[in-house]
Amino acid sequence: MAQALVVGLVIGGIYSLFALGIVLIYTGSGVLNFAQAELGTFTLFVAQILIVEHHWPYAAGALASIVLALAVGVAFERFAVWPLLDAPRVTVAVATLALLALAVALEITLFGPVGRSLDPPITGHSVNVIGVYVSPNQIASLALVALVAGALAAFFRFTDFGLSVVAAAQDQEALRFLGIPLARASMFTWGLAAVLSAVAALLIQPDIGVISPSAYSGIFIRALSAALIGGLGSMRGAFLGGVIVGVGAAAIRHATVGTSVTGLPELCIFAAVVLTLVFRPQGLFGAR
Amino acid sequence: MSEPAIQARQVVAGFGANTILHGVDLTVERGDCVGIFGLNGAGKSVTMKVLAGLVPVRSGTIEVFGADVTHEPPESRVPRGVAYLPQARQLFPRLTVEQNLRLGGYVTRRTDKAKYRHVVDGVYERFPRLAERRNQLAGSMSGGEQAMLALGRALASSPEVLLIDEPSAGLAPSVVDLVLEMLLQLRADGLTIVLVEQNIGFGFRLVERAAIMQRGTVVYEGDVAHLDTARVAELLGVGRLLSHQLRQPTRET
Amino acid sequence: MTTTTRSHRRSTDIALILLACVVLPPLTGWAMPDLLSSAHALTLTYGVSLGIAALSLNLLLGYAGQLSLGHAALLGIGAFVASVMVDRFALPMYAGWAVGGLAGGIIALAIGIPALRLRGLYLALVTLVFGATMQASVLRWRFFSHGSSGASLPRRWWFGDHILINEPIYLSMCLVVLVGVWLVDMNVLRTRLGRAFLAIREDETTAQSFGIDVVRYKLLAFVLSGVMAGIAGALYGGGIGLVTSDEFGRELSLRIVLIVVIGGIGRRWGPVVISVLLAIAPTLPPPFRRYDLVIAAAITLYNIVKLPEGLAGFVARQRAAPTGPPVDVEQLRGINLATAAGLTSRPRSTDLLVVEGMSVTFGGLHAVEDVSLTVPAGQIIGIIGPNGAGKSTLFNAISGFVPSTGTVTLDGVPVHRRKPHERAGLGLGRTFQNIGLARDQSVRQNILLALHPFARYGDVAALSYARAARGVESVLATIADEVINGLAFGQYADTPVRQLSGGQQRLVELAAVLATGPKLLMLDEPTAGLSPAAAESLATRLGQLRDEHGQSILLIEHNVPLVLDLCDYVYVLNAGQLLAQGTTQELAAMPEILDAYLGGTVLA
Repeated sequence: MAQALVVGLVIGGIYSLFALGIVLIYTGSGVLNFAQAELGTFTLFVAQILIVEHHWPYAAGALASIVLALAVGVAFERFAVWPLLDAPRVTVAVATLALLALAVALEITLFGPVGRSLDPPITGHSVNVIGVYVSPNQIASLALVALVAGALAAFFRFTDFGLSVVAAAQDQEALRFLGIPLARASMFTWGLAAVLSAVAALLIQPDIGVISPSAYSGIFIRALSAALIGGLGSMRGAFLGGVIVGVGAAAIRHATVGTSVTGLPELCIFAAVVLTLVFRPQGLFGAR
Repeated sequence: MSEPAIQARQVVAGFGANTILHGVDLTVERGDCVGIFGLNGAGKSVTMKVLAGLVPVRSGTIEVFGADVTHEPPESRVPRGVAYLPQARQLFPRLTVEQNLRLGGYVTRRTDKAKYRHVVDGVYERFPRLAERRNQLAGSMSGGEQAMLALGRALASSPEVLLIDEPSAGLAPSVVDLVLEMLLQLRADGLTIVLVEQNIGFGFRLVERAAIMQRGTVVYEGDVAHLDTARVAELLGVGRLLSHQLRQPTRET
Repeated sequence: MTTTTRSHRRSTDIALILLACVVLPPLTGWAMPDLLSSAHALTLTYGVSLGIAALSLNLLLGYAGQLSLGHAALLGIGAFVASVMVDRFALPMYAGWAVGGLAGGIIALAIGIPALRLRGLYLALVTLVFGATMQASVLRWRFFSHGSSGASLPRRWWFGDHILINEPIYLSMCLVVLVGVWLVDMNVLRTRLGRAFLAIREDETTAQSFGIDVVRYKLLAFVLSGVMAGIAGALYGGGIGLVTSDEFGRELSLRIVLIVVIGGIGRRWGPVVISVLLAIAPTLPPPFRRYDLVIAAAITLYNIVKLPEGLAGFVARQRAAPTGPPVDVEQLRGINLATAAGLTSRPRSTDLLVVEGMSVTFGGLHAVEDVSLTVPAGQIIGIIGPNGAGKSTLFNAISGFVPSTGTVTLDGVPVHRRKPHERAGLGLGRTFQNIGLARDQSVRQNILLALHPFARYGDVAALSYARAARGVESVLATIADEVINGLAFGQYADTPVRQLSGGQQRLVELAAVLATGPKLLMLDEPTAGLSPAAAESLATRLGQLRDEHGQSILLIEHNVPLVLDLCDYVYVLNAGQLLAQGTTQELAAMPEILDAYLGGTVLA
C-alpha cells in the first residue's frame, strides 16, 4: 500500500503541473484549454525523435521540446486568444479544441500508430526509503515538481510582473486603467502553461513507458479532474487536486486488484468530479 | 502651461446600438476641481470612462495637457498623469493592501523605484489605517477601508489628474465625511480633480466648478457659486419636484 | 387552402426522398457493383451514421448552445446496448436501434441533471470526463463485450438467426433513419422547442423572462441529442458488425465537434455533408487519406479565428449601422392579441399586484428593505428615486429574478415562491432596462418567444409536428404577423433585432410583451434611449392603454416630469426604502423627495 501511495504521489505531482496550466489559463483568460495536456504529449514525441532517431543528448532534446511548446503556446495566444479577447469564452474554448484535434491528428499522421520508447534520463537502482522503493527518476520528478511549485509561488508573489499576472485574473479592466499592459500578461500565461505541459509530459513519460498517441489520452482527463476538484480558480487547489487524484487513483487501484470491474479508479474520479461540481462548484480549495 | 488638463470636444460615445453621449464638451483647467452631476443615465460615468480610455470615442476629440489622446488606450494615459478611480473601485480582492498599491505604482516602479517608495510612504502617511493593514487581503476590508485603498492605489501612480467616480456611493455617513476630507486635502495640494457625484450635497462641498448633464449632453458648465437648489433641480430635470411647481395641477404641453 | 396544398406537397416530397433512399442503394449495388461495392456501402454507412451523430451534437451545440465532448460515449452506449438486444436476445436490428437510442437518452438525462443546473461549460467538462470514463471502464465490462474482443452486432432483418441483410440494403435503411432524424430536427426548429433552445443559447436570463424553463429545455435538448447519438451508434455498430470500446473514444468525440464547427454550427446540410466527406476521405489517395483530420482541424481553427460568423450566433457582434423604420410609438398596436385569441384571461382582482414587506439582501447589504406596494387594476403606478435607490432590484424581486423575503400576490395568486418563468406565465409581463430581447433572433422570433407561455402542446406533438402543435403554431404566427404589421415593421420581420436601433428594440420589446396580454405590465425605464419627442408620445400611448384597454402598469422611470404627469400614484424609493408615496398633488407637500435626489443637503 505504501508503495502504491508513493507512486500515486509522484504521478499526482505531475498531474499537478498539468492542472496548474489549466488553472493559469482559466484564471488568466477565462478559458478552459482543452489542449493543455496534448501540447506536452506532442512535444514529447518530438523530443523522442530528436533523442532516439537523431541521437541528440537527452537534455538537448528535452530542452528543444520545451522551447517548441513555448513557441506553440505563445503563437496560439497571439493567433487565436488575443484576437478573440471580446468574443464569448466558448468560442475560445472551441479554438483550443481545434488545437487539441490538430495535435492529435498530427501525432497520428506524423508519428504513426507504432509505439515508440524513450529511455529515462536517469538510470540506476531504486533506493529503499523507510520500506518503500523509490527510483531515482521518481525522486528527481518529485524534486522538480517541488522546485517548479516553489519558483512559481515566489515569482507570482515577489515580482511586479508576476503580481500583474495574478491581478489580471481578478480584474482585467483595472489592470488597464492602472497603466499595466494586458497583452504581455496574457502571452506569458499561455507560454508558461505550455512549458509546464512539456515539462510534465517529459516527467510522466517513464511511468507510462511506451509513447503512442493513445497512451497519453487519459492524462488530460486526470489533470482536468484535478483542477475541477481542487478548484479552477486556485493554483494551490490545482496542486492539491493533482495529488488527491494521483494518490486516490493509486490507492483505489491497489485496493481493488483482482476485481472483475474494469476502470474503477476512472469511475471514482468521475463520481468525485460530479459530486464536487454539484456540491462545491468552486472546488475544494477555491474561494467563492 | 496654458493648455487645460482635460479638454473634451463634441464627444459621442456609447455601447452597441445605444449612443449614450451625444456630443459632450468639457474643459478642466489645471488645479481645477470639477464635479459632473446628473441623474441616472445622463452619461456621467460613461464620460469618465471615455476620459480614462475605457470606452471608445465615436466622434469628437479628447486632449490631455494639450496632447490628443482620443484613440489612445487607457494604459497609455497613465504615464500622462491621468488616474481613474471607478465607482465599483475594482480593487484586486485577493491581493493584499501592499500588493494593490504596488500595482497602482506599476508605471512609477518601472522607471523609478525610489520615487515609488516615496509616493507610497506618502499614501501610508495619509491613510495610517492602510499602513496597519498592509498585509491584509483587500477583499476582506470594510467599505471605508476599501475606499481609502482605492484612492491610495490611484495616487500611487503620482497622477496630476484624478478622475473619481462616485466616491460617496455605498459608504456610511461618517466615512463619507472622511472621504470628503481626504479629497479636500488633495485639492489643497493642487491635484486636478474631476468628480462624478450623485450626491449633490456632497459634491458641492468639494468642487468649485460644476458640469450638469442631461441625456448625454452637458447642459451647464460653470461656477458652483452661480447655482441654487431650484436651478440645480431644473438643470437635472427634476424641477417638477420643486414644491411650488408641484402645486400647479396643469400638465406640461 | 394554400397551407393544405403546401403540406400535401411536402408529404409528397418526403415520400419521394424516402423512396429514393430505399431504392437507389440496392439498385446501384446490383446494377453497378463497381460503383457501390460492399466496401463502398459500408463507408457511406459510416458517413451517414456520423451525419446523424453530427445532427445530434448540432441540436445540442448549435441550437441550445451546450457543448458535449463525450458524444462518442453516447454512441458507444447505443452500439453496445443494441448489440445486447440483437446478438444476445436475437431481436431484429430495429429493436436494437430503438433501445440503443433510449439508452443514449437515459444516460444523457442522468448526466444532464447534475451538469445542466450550472451555467457555462460545465456540461462540456462533465461529458468530457464521462466519455473517458465510459471508454476506460463501463464499455470494457464483460457484460457488454464478453471480454476484450468486442461485441458482435449482426444486421438481423427479423427475429431468428439467419436473416441478415447485405451492405447496400443496410445503407438504405440508415438513409431512411437519417431522413427521420432530419425531419424531427426540422420540427424542433419550427416549434417552441427550437425557439426556446435558441433563446437559451443566447442568454439564459432573457430566456427566463420569456417564460422559458431554462433547465428543463437544456435537459430536453441533451436528452434528444442523446437519443439521436444512441441511434447513430447502433447504426454504426451494425455497419461494422463488431463494436469495441476503442472506437468510441476521444478522437470520435473530437471528430464530431470538428464536423459541426466546419459544417456550420446551427445548420443541417453542412454537418451531414462534412460527415460523409470525412468518412470517404480515408478511401481517397493521399494527401486526403493521410491528412484528413489534420486538414479538418486546421480548417476549424482558421474558421474560428478568421470567420467567427461561421460560429453562427457565438460571435455575431456586428457593428453595422442600425436599420429599420423610424421609432413611431403611435404604431404600437396589436394589444392583448393573446387575450383576444382566448389564450389569456382578464384579471379578476381589484388589487392586481400586492407586494408586502419585501426585502432583498446582497451579502449583508440591504438593497431593498421592507417595501410594500399595491397596483390597483387599471392604473399606472410609478416608482421614482435617485440612483442606487433599489428600483431595478425591487423589479427583479417582484418578477422573481432575485431572491427576496416578503410576499407577492398577483391577481389573487401568491407567486413569491414561483420561478420567473412561472410568474411570466401567470400574466406578469415585463421589459428590461437593457432590453430583454434575444438579439441574434429576428423580430418575428422574438414575438413568438414572448408568446412562449401559450405554446401549449406536448413535446412529442412538437417533435412530430402533430395537429395539436400545428394548430397552436398557426394561431401564434397570426398574432406575430398582426404585431409586426401593427408596428409597420413588415420589412424588418426577419431582421435580427441586433441590427435595429436602441429605440426600435425598445418598441419591439414592448409590442411583444403587450401582445401576450399581460395582466400587469412592468416597464423598467421605457424611455431610456428614446428622443424627448418619442418619450412624450410613448407616455401618451401608455395613458391610452390604461384608459382604453384598462391595462395595469408598474413603471420605473428617471424622467420625473413624465412620471408625475402619467401616473395615478407614485412610490418614491431612496436607499432601498420607501421614502414617500402618494398622488402627484400629495407629493407636493414633501420636500424630502427633492432632498433625496440632491443628496440630502439643501443648497444655498
